[in-house]
Amino acid sequence: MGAILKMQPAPREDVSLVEETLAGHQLSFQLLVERYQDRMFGLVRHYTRNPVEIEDIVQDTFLKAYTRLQSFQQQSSFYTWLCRIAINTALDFHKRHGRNPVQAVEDPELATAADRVGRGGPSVPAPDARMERAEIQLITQKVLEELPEIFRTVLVLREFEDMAYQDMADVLGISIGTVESRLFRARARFKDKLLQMHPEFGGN
Amino acid sequence: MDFTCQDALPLVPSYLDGELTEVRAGLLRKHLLDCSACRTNAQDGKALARWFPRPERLEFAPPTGFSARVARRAFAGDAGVHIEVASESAPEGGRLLQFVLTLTAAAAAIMLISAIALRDQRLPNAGSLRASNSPASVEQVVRKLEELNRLEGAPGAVTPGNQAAPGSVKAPPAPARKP
Repeated sequence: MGAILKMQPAPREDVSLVEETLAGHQLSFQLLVERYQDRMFGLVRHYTRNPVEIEDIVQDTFLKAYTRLQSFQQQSSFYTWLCRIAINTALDFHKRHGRNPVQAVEDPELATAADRVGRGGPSVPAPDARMERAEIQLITQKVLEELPEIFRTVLVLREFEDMAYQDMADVLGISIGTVESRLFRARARFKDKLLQMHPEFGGN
Repeated sequence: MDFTCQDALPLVPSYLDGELTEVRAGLLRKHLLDCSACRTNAQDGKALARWFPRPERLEFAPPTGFSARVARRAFAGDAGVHIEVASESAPEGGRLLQFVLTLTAAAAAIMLISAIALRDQRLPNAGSLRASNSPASVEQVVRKLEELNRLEGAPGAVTPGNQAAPGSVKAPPAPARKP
């Protein structure tokens, strides 16, 4: 076989970097930050649109992670663990600034199997193919901002972070069944709010 | 075993999210091929997913040197209190308010202490209120004054209907009556 495989050093596992950090290697922690900083900025932007606040929250997330590194049990991935800290930090930040996120008025776990047999909210067609991606993102962002925090978070973790149900359960400290029902309800609420804010997107 | 619509519909979101086991996913796929109602439901779910496009590029990127700065701060002992510090120091009015509240509390305490001290000075204590040591009654004082007036022959003698209020300023002596 003529192909020459270019040998690249395997990226060091998160666990190794965590252990090295705990042993006092600053550069290892810097590598961890570098590895996840983009995703953290992407996650936190769903909680505030202010670039300075995003940077503050992400920085605080990493600093908190460092101080709690001993408690990282390695039962979940480092990224999942980091997400949990980031979401809590973002919510704390809002509380301190008197900006309580919208709370759910009904019990988000009330979506029973019987509910799920239903359609889960109105039917919403996909965005028009002529719409720009940025335009869709803006509309979605505005709708998400109107949702209770509990629903917004599950949608962000699932739709943007592409998290598996088990990881979402780890991040939120809930069962997989609760993740399913909360997600089901969140999607229904998203469709309701989308049509309320943009009736022009309603189906026939 | 074939799925019914009752079995299939609750599984559609998990199926679209790739969370079903291969066996259950296979059964659901088979049902979706046969059932247009459930297929429509699945298509709705797919349509909704298109409202969540991944950003092509990072909207908010970390600044240059972010990771080095954070690592340096972490190893310098910064425990992630940046936000707490910011929230405490951010509103200048907050510090002013705290100062005013402290000042008000101190003033209130001083006023309270002064009021108690003055009250203690003004009020007779328990010993001075003993009945046996009580001063002469008003009638006795009036009688004494009348007697003194008579002796001095003063015209403005105090009568019980014309008693001077206690603590009132002493009236200037009245002009002598003509005989």
